[in-house]
Amino acid sequence: MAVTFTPNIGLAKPDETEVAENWVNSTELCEDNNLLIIDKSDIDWTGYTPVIAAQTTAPSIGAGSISGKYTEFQGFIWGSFTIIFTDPGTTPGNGEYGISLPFPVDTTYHTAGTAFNGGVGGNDCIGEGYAFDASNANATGPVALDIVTVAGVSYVRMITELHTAPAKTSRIFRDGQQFNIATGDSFSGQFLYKKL
Amino acid sequence: MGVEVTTNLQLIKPDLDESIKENLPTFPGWADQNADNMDKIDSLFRDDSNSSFYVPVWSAGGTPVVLGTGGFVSGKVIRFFPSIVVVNFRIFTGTAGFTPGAGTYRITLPTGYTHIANEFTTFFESAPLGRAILMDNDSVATSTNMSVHYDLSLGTIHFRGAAGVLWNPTSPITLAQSDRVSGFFMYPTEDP
Repeated sequence: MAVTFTPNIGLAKPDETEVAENWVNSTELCEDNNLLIIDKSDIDWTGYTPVIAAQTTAPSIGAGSISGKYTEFQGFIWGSFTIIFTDPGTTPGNGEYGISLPFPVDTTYHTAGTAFNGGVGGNDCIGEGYAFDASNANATGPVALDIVTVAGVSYVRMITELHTAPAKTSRIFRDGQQFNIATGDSFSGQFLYKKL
Repeated sequence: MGVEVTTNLQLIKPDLDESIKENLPTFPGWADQNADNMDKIDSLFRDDSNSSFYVPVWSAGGTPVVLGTGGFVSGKVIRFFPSIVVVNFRIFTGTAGFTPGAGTYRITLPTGYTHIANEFTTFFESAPLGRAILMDNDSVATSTNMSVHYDLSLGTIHFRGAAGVLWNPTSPITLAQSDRVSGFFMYPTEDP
């Protein structure tokens, strides 16, 4: 039985003749439609393992953990990440940090940078996060997340608030700015963007 | 024969008197009605074709802002299933000719997406909707980020810096040429 279908999730739309001549099949189509609606409405979370990179040398989480999860709907990715630094082996690396996203961003929709140490303010801001300094409450604070794509992988960078101790010498979170990561510190954040 | 519809999506619920066949003007036929139902459900799963670009209006409470050479304000918006609106926006103050104006800075919501859900707006400005980067081109030390809020009384978006002060030409930085803002916010609307 030939039917027409809706554009987004392919729900069947039988016409009058088709409904009259193929009632049993139409019932099956209704069941198919219901299954499609249930499937598309029941959005699962998928785990992923982010990579923390840097302009020069990536930091090490030591014996800590790094995890993420995301869900996809209507071509957009909504997800989150958590990174916990634990000794032995924690090192701050060198250069501005980037935390990888599950999929590359669509640069026809978003404006994205091309380097971890590139300019700030010109790229789309797609989320927010929190940088926790276990040894100094004053250095703990929220960050905004913007996007860069380096070597085909998209990352969020953590854009920091005002801070004076230490004196702010980088707009982007990096080694020593806004604190030098050590055991017990953590990063967390959530993002929402259109994937390629 | 009466046509009953569901509460939220207005899906048609045929009764026993209705048939497959068209019987105008009161009954267009179940095939036609069913197709309407499927289109309504399907539209909830629309892809990014539902997104669009818009130009937020950036204003100050007093003297207007004037963009300098190359300055721009841009935005993108999408409404997700069923009624959550997400906005990304960017501002570049431009170079020669930029005038920061006076008063609290605000930007407008995208046209057609201004009907914020009533139950949400009761949280007058207390609930941040997102975050924005404020890049001070003159100084790394004063570059920062801000929380994004909805102003119930004016129906616009305003911003608060780390110290809680509303964003204006002199706080949290003295806004000048080549400064930039990039942010996002999301909010619930009434029925799509």
